[in-house]
Amino acid sequence: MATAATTRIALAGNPNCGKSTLFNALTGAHAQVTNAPGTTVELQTGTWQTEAGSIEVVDLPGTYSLLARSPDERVTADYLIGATSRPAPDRPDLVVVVLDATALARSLYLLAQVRDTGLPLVAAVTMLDVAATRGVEPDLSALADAAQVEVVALDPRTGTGVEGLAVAIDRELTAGRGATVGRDPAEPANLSQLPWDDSAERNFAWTERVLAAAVPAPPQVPLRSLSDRLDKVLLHPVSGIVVFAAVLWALFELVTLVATPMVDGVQRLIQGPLADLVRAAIPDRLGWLQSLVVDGVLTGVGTVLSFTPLLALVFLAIGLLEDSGYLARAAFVADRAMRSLGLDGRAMVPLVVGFGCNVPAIAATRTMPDQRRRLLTGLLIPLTSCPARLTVYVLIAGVFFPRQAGTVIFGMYMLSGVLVVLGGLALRATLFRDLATTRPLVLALPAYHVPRLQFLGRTTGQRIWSFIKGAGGLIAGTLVVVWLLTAIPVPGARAEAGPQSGFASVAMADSVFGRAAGAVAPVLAPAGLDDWRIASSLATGFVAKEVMVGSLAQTLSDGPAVDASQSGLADRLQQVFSDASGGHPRAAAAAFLVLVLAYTPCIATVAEQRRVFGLRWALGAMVVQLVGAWALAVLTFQLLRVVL
Amino acid sequence: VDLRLCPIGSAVEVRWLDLDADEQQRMRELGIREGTLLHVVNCGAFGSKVVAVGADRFAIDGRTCACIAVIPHDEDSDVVGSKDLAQPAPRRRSRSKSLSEAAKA
Repeated sequence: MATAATTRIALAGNPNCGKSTLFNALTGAHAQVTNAPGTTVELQTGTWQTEAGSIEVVDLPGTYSLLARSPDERVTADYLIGATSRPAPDRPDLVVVVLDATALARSLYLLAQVRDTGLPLVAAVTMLDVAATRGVEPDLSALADAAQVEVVALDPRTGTGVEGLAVAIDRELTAGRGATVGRDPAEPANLSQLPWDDSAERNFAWTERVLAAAVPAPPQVPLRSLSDRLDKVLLHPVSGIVVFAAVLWALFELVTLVATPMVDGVQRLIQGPLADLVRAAIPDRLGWLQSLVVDGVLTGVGTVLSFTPLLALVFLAIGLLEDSGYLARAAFVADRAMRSLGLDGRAMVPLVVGFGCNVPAIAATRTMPDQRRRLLTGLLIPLTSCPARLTVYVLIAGVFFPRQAGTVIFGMYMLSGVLVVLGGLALRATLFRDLATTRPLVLALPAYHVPRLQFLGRTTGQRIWSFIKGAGGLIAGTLVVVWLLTAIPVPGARAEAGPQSGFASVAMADSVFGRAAGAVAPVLAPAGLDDWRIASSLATGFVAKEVMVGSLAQTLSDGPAVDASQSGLADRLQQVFSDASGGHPRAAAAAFLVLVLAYTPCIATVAEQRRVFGLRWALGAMVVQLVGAWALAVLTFQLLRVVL
Repeated sequence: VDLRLCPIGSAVEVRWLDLDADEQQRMRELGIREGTLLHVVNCGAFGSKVVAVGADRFAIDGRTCACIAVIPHDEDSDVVGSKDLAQPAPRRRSRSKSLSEAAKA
């Protein structure tokens, strides 16, 4: 039997042709998301259980051509071109080329190129129902005869035709024929052996011939489909922008208003009943162990888990937009605004989500088809001001600018937008010069669909699991390390309270963490922030901005945490900032706000950047953000100290 | 006439693509080649268009539309006649008008 356990097939096709839906229909929940070797381009692999045995399925990134123009397309091209000369583990036994019936011409062009690789192939035609509504009904037997390939009609959404695909694959592998069938033997077998223009012209001619056979009488005037009528509103110069703005607003509300109670609920559950259970299970004499498990490990795990409802909502919302076909329209509407930054319109969605939370925003960059633009967007997202930073703005603005607090907070959001634009321009002029040239925007618009909730639920689950596996360890590990630093006393430390003293019961000022913050504080002197308590709160802000206020309150009281609204806190803050800045507390407070806005958002964002873009970019971004934020804070203080 | 000037409903044939070789190649791979019949289905902001190529739909930004030279298709289209499309039109003024209005202007 040809389809043995080691059989591997690759799915290739244009973007939005139904390829990933087919992959999910074939592999069910047994899919893994990994990065292609040496890249940050996602590859999905899974196992398809057929009557003939197991088949490993690789879902390649969507591409219009094997003459690649982006890193994503390069992954597909590299995987297929020259595959016949590679050893078995790196070579697919067969390629299923997914043909979109609504876009048969460009689908056939890719089929022609895959045929040139010499790999056995089967063509799976999708979207036949949508094509029919547009007056195009291809003759699949004529298509198979003209193209000399096995052709199967498929509806990946319902799974119709999957059995036929298995039979066709088995037949093709049993026949053992490569894609050389029906081709002139004098032609080179491998695409990579041909100059691109030669192969392209030949494949255009082949495409025209096969298309003419498959669709002999295309409609002279296109039928106005429901999608066309919807587009009249959704792409309209005025109503299109209004709808797009409404969608962005709804996304922002989802991340801030809907997700926040869920995040708080998870945190309360972990830090309340679960923490109590753990404390009860560990004897009091092992106080340090209690503290390690509850304040270190459980806090770390709780932080990771608290992101899951937020991520689930964002993944579902963006999945709905993508699966319905609207995301392509949104990209088109927002394109002109984003082009000045070297981005395409799709970047608008993750950037807006970033104002809700940076972590799902980084994950949401996956909707962008080009790796370089994904990366550029991912580097700009930390500059969007998330609500966690708002807690700091409210405290500082309320204490130092009580009459203009609202204006100051609004100004921080405006500054965030300015930093995104300036950061984009700076990156485009340096590390992303390849994006400086404005390229034509030609977007293939998929027909609108009713989103498939089961499919969305499954892919959301996979992506959340991928986040927990990829970023969870780093987040939890970092929090345990921070706990250790706050638990280890320096020589001569005072015991904080209780019968135990020393390890895990030391005042923060006398811990390694506190002393390290004291050592770093002079670096902040040019920004008017030379105080170990300020440095310490900034360091805890690296873990999560939400804890900065509590940290400030705790260190200012030099004891157990006090409520941020406590009356004495404002006076102590005024005193500390005044002492640290040499009598310019308001200028120092403004510098502090700028620093909070611009420096590394939180460990979860860094972990997600590492997962999506790699360690090198995550660390590089962190260093640049720290240096940039410091420089901005210094500039702010030095300018404002003259007037404030 | 460039594609930017074509109103909704016009049927045109691509004459040439005034783009870099690389960009031209991608357009051709997408199915927008010399001789391809395009139907303008919708218009967006800044001269952008949604065109139908067979059952396929493409959204093209205004700047790129200006680089696609077209001539009217021989057969009658449902909105604008081929005679109208054959007339050159001033680019800026005709964007939101039909081509016949532009030709008169």
